[in-house]
Amino acid sequence: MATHRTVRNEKLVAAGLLFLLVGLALGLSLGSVSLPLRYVIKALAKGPSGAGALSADGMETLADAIVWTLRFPRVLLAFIEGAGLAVAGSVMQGLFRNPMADPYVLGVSSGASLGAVLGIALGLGGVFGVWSLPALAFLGALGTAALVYALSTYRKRTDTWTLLLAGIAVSSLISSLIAFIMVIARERVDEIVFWTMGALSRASWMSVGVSLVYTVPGLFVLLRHAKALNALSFGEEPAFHMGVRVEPVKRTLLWTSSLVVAGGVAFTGPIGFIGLIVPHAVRLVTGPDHRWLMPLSGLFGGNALLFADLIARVIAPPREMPVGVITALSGAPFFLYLLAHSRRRRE
Amino acid sequence: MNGGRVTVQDLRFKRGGREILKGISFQVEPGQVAAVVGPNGAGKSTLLKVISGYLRPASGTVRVGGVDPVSLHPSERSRLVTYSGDEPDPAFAFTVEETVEMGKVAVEAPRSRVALQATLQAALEALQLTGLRDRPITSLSSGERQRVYLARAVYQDPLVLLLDEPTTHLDMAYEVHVVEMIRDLAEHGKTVITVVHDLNLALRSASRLLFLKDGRLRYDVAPGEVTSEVIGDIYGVEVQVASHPVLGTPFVTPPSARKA
Repeated sequence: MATHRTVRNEKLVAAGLLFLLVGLALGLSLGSVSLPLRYVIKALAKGPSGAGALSADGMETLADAIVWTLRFPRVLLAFIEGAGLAVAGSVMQGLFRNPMADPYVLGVSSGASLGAVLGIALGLGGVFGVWSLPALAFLGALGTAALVYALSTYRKRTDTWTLLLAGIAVSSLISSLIAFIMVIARERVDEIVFWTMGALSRASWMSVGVSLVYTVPGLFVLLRHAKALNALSFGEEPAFHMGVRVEPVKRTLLWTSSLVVAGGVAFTGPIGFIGLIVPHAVRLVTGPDHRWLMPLSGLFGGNALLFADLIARVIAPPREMPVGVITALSGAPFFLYLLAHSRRRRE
Repeated sequence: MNGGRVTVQDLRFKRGGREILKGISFQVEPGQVAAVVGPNGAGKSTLLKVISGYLRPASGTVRVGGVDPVSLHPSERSRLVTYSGDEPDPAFAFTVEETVEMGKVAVEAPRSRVALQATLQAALEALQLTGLRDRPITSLSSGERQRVYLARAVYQDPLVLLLDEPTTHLDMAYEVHVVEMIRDLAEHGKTVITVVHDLNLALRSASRLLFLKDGRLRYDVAPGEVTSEVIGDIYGVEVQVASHPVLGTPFVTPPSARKA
């Protein structure tokens, strides 16, 4: 391995961690109520038990509560989900040998939306308590992934092109179902629209805990397959001749990515562009070796969603933008810039 | 230990209900270079892919080093046999060195870092790629890329190498070089089976020629036994087979006319 690349990658890790630190600090202090950094640090020092206690300084009491019950889980969920989306995106791009692939290839995002929209429209808010919408969204996401997977698997072999096409077809079918439901359940359109735009305002310690349970082991499994993914990005047949267990590896990668993504999307609604752009941008700098590409995508994907959420909170006070709007607004032009830039470099 | 002996017995392969290989039997010993030749669509590439374990035969047996490659764990199989042929265009800009290194992707614990570096260097040198080692493969010509994939197979270092048209995209100098390298591999005990279109190249480089037509093995002969009758039977063209003035090997002159 070329050493200059390793050195550059180590610098990137350092830069990513620095961004993370700044993002956390800003994420805890900015919002509809701005908290000076010293209050944030005090609140953190007191620990979660400090959140309920009254203190002589009214600002301090408020800061404790905001930091511990609202903002801390929110920044954590942003980082976890952003990391999951970006790593899953790098996996899908490698597997499909296509830099246009994103973590929603198997229809996970539209499936999650359908689950949540059904829950909202049928007023199932109370069936599983606060867990109703996330549970329905999660079921919708995995159900769709299973359907797309089954449609493209024959005699234990999964055809990647069929998978791509089936994913597109099933997703657009679901989109029209959602539109259908929105017309029928007109009085709940606002709620539906807000959910499908993706937002982190529903974050709680519970959602952080649950998405950690999906994301951490999932990312571990994905990272262990970095070398196999390198070989697979040359095509499935060449990878076979290099000694990769093509079908089992493919199955593991597809399902683990879908689980990681579904675990986040179930709480926040679909958030676009992070899983598409971050791996793409990281690849331009580090090269395509998944042993670096995947962890660095995770780090910068987490940061990207963290900062996007920050912008979503402060851009139009006192209102809060859905973070999905911000990722699309900043992601699409950035992506177009990358496209033009990399083309110019090649020619 | 029979090394990398390849034994094929009454091999049949079907695709979409059509029989591509119709009962093929032969054996290739370690140290031999066998060239599979024959018209387009004869089943040459399919034969190599069945031997590699990638395609499963409808019936008959394949034994590589005494075992069925399909029954092996993929990483074990990758140390026994590999196939190298045309690949889809690379999707990502791996460097030449990174690409060649993937020959060992399935090997969990490398013997030693130093020994591995030496074999990597040897594989790059064998295909004259040392000057290109840091170039992204997306920027290479098809001939350069073909040498990279060959280097990867050499670095993988299995007992049996199945090389599907290894010189198609190469210029004359590299063609000569690769032919020498293939001979060298065989002299070091490897079993090599190639698919070659250029008959004269096959006659120069192989110790045996396997003539395939319509999924059947029609002739299994040494270069010296190739006659104009054999070629006329396989390709339906009239040629003259002479002795090469310098090398002394058989030499096929271009067909003069189509057989009636």
